[in-house]
Amino acid sequence: MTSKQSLAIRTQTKEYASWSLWYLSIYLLIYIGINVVTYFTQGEITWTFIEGSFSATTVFMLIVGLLSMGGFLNHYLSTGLTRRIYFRSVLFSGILVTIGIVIFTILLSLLIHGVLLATGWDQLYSERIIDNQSMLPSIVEALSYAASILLFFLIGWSISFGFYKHWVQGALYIALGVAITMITSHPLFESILPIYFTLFFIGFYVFLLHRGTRTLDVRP
Amino acid sequence: MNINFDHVSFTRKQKTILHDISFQLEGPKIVGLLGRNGAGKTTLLSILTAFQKASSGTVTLNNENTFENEHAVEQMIFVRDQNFEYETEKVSDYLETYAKFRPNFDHDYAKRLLKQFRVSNDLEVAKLSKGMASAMQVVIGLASRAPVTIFDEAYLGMDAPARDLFYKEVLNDFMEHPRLIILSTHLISEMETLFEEVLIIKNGRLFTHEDKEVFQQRGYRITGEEQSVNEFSKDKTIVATQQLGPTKSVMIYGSFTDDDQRCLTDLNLERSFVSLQDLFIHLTEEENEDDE
Repeated sequence: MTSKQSLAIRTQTKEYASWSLWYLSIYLLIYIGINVVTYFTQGEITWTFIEGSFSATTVFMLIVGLLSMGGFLNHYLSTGLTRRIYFRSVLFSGILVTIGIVIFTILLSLLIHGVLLATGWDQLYSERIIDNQSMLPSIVEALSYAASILLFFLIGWSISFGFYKHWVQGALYIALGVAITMITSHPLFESILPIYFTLFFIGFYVFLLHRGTRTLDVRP
Repeated sequence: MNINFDHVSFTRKQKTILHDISFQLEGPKIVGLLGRNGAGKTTLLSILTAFQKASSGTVTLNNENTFENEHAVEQMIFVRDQNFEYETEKVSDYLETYAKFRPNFDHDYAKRLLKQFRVSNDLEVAKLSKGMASAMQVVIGLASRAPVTIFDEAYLGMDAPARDLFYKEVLNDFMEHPRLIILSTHLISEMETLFEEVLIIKNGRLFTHEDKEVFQQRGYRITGEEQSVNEFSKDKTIVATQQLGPTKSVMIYGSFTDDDQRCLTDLNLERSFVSLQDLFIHLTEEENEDDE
């Protein structure tokens, strides 16, 4: 890996990381706000930090992917870098940020749980939470969670890639994204280790985006 | 620095924008890239800087293909009109994103230039006026000290003093750090003193590429009595005609030989040179009339 490539990855990761910190901060505030409301209305905490983060993070990463195309690619070429460096930087940064978000979410979840235990507020957990004990996911669950987030990032990136070329392609990538999301979240596939499907589609999108961006015309 | 375009064509959506263009540029020098709107100047520059890929032909920088070539593209900077509507960074941070990937970036020079152009470091890029955004772009272009520095209508929105400063800085910095500078422009009269060579693109084809002085000398004006002017210019390429009573004046594009000089004396005609801008305007006007 060239020094420019690693510098580009660091720069891109820093950018995504700053967006992610904003997102996690806002999510944390919303999480606290909702639990305060449910405490006063239902007298219990009905929602754990980690279970709520899954759907929110997938949407966040979809948006990060959507914002990863034209502006960044143009900026890369303007600073004397290549499409190859752009592609690798966005991909590796997406992976790094995904891992970072998963770890950060688990740590924050444990921290919040710890605070609740220390203060005795864990008594306020609803029965559903106490029965499921979903504070610390298993390794397979964490990996599956990370793979799903990364897939949504790639779906977002592919949609903006499609629209960058032509609106028809953009629309097709939306349809493809919806179809893949339906397949990977279908109960039939969930029962036979969905992570394999998710990983397959991740590979599929990486292949598509790699091929698509390597000779892509960039409007100067 | 050696740039080579070898039979380059560019076609998109069944429309050919550049037709079989071949030329060679060797630096250090300042080259003027001239052409009317839609002639293909920006497309040509975007192919050179690998923003777009030529449909056929090859583009090389120091004998290396430029497209997706990390070593080649890092030696070029392409300053052009850009939309900064969503650029929320401060000017200083924005410059830094360029500086970190430009090994020759001169931070002190950039700071000095920003002051001279009166662009504040603390302003958000999106909030810059058109002229200030252009000035910031020019600062990046000059301070990057890329071996191939390209300015494509970089002065858009700048007022006259800022444009004057831009021209002076291009020249000063070129003298101190010689490199290949390509200036694509419409404002020929303001910039022509900077050019050493001119490349003229006409309807997507290379019209001419030569030394500016040589090109300019191909254009001259003959003035005198109508019949004599007609006699002199009958086998020549007339690009513009003016008439006032019995006096006629024609602008001719072509070589001027010793025989022409003798003929001129015999017919009692006057010869004067024309500016690069006049020559350019009339040569491209001819093209429009043909189109119609």
